[in-house]
Amino acid sequence: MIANSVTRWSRRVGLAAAAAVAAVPSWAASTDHPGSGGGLPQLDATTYPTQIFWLIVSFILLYIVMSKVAIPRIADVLEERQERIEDDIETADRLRGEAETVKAEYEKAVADARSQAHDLVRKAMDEIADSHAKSEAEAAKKTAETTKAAEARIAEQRTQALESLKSVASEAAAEATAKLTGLKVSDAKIGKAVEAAMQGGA
Amino acid sequence: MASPVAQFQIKTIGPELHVAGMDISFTNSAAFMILATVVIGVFLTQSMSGRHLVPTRIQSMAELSYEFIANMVRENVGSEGRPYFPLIFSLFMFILVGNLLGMVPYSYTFTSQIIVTFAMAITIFVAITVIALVKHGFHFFTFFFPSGAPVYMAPLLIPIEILSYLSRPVSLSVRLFANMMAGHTMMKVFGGFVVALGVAGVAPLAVLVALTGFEVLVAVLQAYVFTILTCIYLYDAIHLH
Amino acid sequence: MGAPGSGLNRLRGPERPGLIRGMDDKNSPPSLDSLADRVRRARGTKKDAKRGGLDSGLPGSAMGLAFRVGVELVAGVVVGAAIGYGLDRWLGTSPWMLILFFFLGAAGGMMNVYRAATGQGLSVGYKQNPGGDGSHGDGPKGSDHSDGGSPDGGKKEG
Repeated sequence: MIANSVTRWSRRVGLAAAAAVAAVPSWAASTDHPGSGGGLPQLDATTYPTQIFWLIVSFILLYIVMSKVAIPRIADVLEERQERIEDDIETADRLRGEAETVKAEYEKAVADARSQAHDLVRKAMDEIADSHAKSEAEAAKKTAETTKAAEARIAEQRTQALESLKSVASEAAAEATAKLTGLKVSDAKIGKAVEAAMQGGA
Repeated sequence: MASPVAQFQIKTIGPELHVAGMDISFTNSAAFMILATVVIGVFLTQSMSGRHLVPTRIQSMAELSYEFIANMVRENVGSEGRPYFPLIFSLFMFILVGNLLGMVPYSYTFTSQIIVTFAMAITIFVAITVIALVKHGFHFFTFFFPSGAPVYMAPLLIPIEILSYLSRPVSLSVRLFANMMAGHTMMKVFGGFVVALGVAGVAPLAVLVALTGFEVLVAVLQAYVFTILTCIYLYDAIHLH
Repeated sequence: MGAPGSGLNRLRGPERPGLIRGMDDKNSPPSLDSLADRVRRARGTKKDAKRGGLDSGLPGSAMGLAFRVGVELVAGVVVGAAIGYGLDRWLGTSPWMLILFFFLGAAGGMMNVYRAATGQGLSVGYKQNPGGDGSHGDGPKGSDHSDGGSPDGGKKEG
């Protein structure tokens, strides 16, 4: 794009130079102005003093206006704006920092609350589990006791039953012996035999 | 058809003034120099008079031109260029407005006068040389000998360097002058074609329109080039090499 | 003993924290990060605008450079010829000085063209492009207003 415009540029300049060169002799001759050697008006040295003089006058004037009024004014406004922008950015940044602190605090509070809640829940659950376990243990203990009692009772009854069984068996044995053999066996002997029989049978 | 260079004619306005044997009459060229000064002054002061924090369109134009030159000076001269900023800014605005005023029909382009551009260029050149001499004393003359070049080349290199240095104001002024003159001459020529060809003048008219746009670009560009070269020469004077 | 507890462990185990944490995810304001971003960008833009100043003008100067080549050469020759002519008239050596200085002037002009064409930018002198040097350490000129803020910080952060 640059190369393109450059070629266009040089073509234009070349064209212009050609036009100027071609134009100068023919037309310049017709314009007959005082003091001119018949060339370009720019080469007419009689106009130089006035141009230089007025150039100096206007440029000095311009320089005074610029350095005394225009430049300080623009610089002022730009500086003011720059300060304002920087101020605003500063404020924004500061507020952002504050917001971040607040956010961090908030998050910390939330985290605290959460861990606290967590603890509470955990504690509650522990308690529940504990009480549960305790009641379970109690229940188990009670059951065991009941079982034990029942077993004891059963054992007792069994013993009793066995005892009664023994006497019944002794009696039955004595009677059976008496009936069958007609012998009268002493109670002690029968008891011994029954016990031996029951022990062997059991 | 009027000569395409007749537009560059200097015409006296009002009475002739002669001071110390020199003709310093007020002329069309002078009128546009003063007009440029007034336009710049009014533009820069009035546009900023609102001092808007959020600039209006015209205010931001003034600010943009200011910042443009401020950046140019900062980047091409450095902090030492600070005291010269008002001068460089004035110079840029003067040439820019002079060029742009010249684009207005029936106006006069004082930057198409070689003497005007040369007076500016030679003043800058002399001032910059003086700055360099004051700042560096005789060390300034080492500027004309390339450091690292073989000594036996000196008799050849030093004249070439001096000539290349002396050609600065010439190239500076000729560039601006030639651009402005070529552009305006060309526009005049095509304008003449448009009139002469009548209905068929549409073609040169199209060229003329394109040319006018191009010339506005050139007007800005040449003001920029003149100013940035001034900055670069100033940098040379301050820092040597 | 272990069996009755297992039902409760499921309730209080670590795999259920979402039950409690869920609330802060929804409430956290998302605008803070974007604000930080915007602040950074506001500072960065300012820097960009400041640096962009000359760059935008460079294509123009490239065009000017093209035209400069011709002008530079002519200027060198003109100055050389003028000096040669002056010396000839002064010393009466016509036309030798004119010829000598014509060529010296042409060489000087070519030197300027060469410098303009090879990355030394628009500078005339033996050094690098001053645009590079000048913009580094040197303070701002005239527009100190635009330099009060963070120096060079804006871009790197982002």
